[in-house]
Amino acid sequence: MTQNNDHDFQQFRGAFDDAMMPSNAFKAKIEKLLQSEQPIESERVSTVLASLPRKTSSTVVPTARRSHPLMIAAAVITVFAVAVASVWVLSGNVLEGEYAGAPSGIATLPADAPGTPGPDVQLTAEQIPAISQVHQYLGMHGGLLIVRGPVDPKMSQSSPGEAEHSLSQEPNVNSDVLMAIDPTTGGSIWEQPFYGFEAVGASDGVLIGLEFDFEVGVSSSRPERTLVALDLATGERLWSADVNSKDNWGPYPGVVILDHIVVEMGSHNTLIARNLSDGEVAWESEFDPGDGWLQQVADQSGETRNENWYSVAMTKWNGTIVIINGDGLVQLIEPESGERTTTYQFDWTDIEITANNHIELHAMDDGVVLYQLMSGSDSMRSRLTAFDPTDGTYFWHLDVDGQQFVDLAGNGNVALQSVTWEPSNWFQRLFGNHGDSIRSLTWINGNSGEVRMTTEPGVVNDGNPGAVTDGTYACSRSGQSEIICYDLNGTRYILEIEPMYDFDLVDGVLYVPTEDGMFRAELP
Amino acid sequence: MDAIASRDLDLSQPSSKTKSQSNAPPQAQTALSQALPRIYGYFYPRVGGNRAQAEDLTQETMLSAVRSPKTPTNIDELMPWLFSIARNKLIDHYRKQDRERRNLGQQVDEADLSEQPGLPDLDLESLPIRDEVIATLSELNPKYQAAIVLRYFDGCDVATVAQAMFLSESATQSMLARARNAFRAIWTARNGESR
Repeated sequence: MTQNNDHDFQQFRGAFDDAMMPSNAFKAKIEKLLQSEQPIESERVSTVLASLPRKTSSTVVPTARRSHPLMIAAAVITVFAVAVASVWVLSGNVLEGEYAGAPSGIATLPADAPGTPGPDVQLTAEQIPAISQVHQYLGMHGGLLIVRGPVDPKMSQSSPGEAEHSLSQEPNVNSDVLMAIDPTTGGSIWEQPFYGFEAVGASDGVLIGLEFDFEVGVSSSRPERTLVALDLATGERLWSADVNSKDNWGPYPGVVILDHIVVEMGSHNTLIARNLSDGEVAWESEFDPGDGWLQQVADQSGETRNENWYSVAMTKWNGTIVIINGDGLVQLIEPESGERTTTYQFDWTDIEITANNHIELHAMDDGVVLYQLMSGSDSMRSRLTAFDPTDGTYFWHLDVDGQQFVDLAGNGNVALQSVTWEPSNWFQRLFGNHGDSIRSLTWINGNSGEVRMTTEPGVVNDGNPGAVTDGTYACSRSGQSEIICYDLNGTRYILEIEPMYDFDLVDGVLYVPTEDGMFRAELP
Repeated sequence: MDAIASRDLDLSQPSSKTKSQSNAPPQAQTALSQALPRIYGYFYPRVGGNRAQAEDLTQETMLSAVRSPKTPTNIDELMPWLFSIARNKLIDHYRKQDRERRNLGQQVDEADLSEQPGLPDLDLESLPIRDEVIATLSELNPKYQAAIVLRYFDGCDVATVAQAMFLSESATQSMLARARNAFRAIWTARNGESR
């Protein structure tokens, strides 16, 4: 007799709930786990991950760079002639996808164009007096400039900017101080001895950061880190907690600050929320990091081991924690309880993502922007996607060649600096070397995907790439000693300054750490 | 598929092998140790008798439990709490399997909604019959497995199943109908209509 109701399935209820004794080997494994409270490395899990088909690098659409094998002298000449004569398609840094297109009236602006909609404006920088030497600029937090500098500049032997990156030096807690500076007066608010401090943010009068020591000589390992809370008014340490995150998570430092709590991504798919006031654990929760992949890394002794790597991004939006993993699973976490309130899955089957894709989440008032970097064997391609995190509704997405450095203002203006690489001579072309760094700055309306402005690509080989925006201006470096900003009219503002480490833009003011100290320049 | 181990267990007396030196709170550790067969027994049929998957999910559940600051020490409170963790692990497992199938380009078979011969009344106390149910479940795709397990093994209402599968309730009803048809079709192919 046929049927399409479920009466015949009701008999299964409760029939498969009986206890079952597992194998003795597994029992012993669990007993050991319960005694030690340490995770037991699961060989089976590693095997499963390793056996998953890798999404190959060759699936990313490459820019047309050709490399040819080097055989013999005659063949080399022949190959060279062929290479030069072949069609060489340069990456046009083209923005494509579902967007409105460049609006009329906003011209594409060459980086060195003599004529712009408005005259170029030369900016003037003034030194912030309290800071004579900077090792690291840590950002504006709670209305204060946070900077790391030497205790006594005369005693510092290392070049500025090197100390925090040198793995050959032993950290010396007595050689550096953390400084809080009033950005308006330039006066020092407090100083505290610190080394290896990375500021995360501030809330409720508490500055949250990560204090870390690098494990010298170990490659591909995260440094040992401590989550630290400082009194924003005095710099005094309020509390600290070990950050137990041996797994390699995507977002670094993997910490967000909400009203009264700081949430950290820990090991083993765990979110840990602590009270800002006293560091006590408010809740622990779990999230799905996706499948990840195994990567072999070598330690100082030359021994290799497998490490689990995951692509995960986290941000806060509208009072909610938003997490997305490398498989496209979005998870919203309620910050009061850690409860996972909403999950949904993006279909990324049209994206040829390699095993080492990088993802970032940036929040704006009306949604979030996801940045994905897809790395191939000889190319990089990026996708930006804006969506409503409550239900995943797409606003727009853009596909673009190269790597993007993204910043997002609350009003939805997105600044991104595109970076691609082109060989500058035949030798580099022949062997597929990176060559010159080609950069351009693009400004996008984050709510509509409309391109407000983009500059023609230019060669910039000096200085780290990056873009910042405060919603009114968008800025990027055009070399070791120059910053160029644009407003929405296309007017270009130029700041020439001594070799800088970095720069920041906060409420229309540029903050620039240099060899000679900290400088600020106001945009009109 | 591995044969089912003994179903009748005396959980009142832990075996001598479970008594051991421990740094963890002894009450919590003992309670979790006692709960192991129940959790393993929960997962084993629900992953189609795949012992490796059942062990992995059991281990993940135990890890979550032992590292939580809220682990109940009383066995009566522990079991509902553990089963809620276990069910979440199971749902994540089905989702992951479904993702893998999609990433590998495997076509998801959509069973039709036409009527199929119903299942006979089954003697589920019989181990071979239970094995056969589990084997049939293992031949379903992950979405249908999830639907059948959550709705009929665990007794979840349609709303709960819908939430777990990211579907509307009406879509869930359709999914359940397809899953039932698929199960019946496989059962009939394996056993004929009379068993």
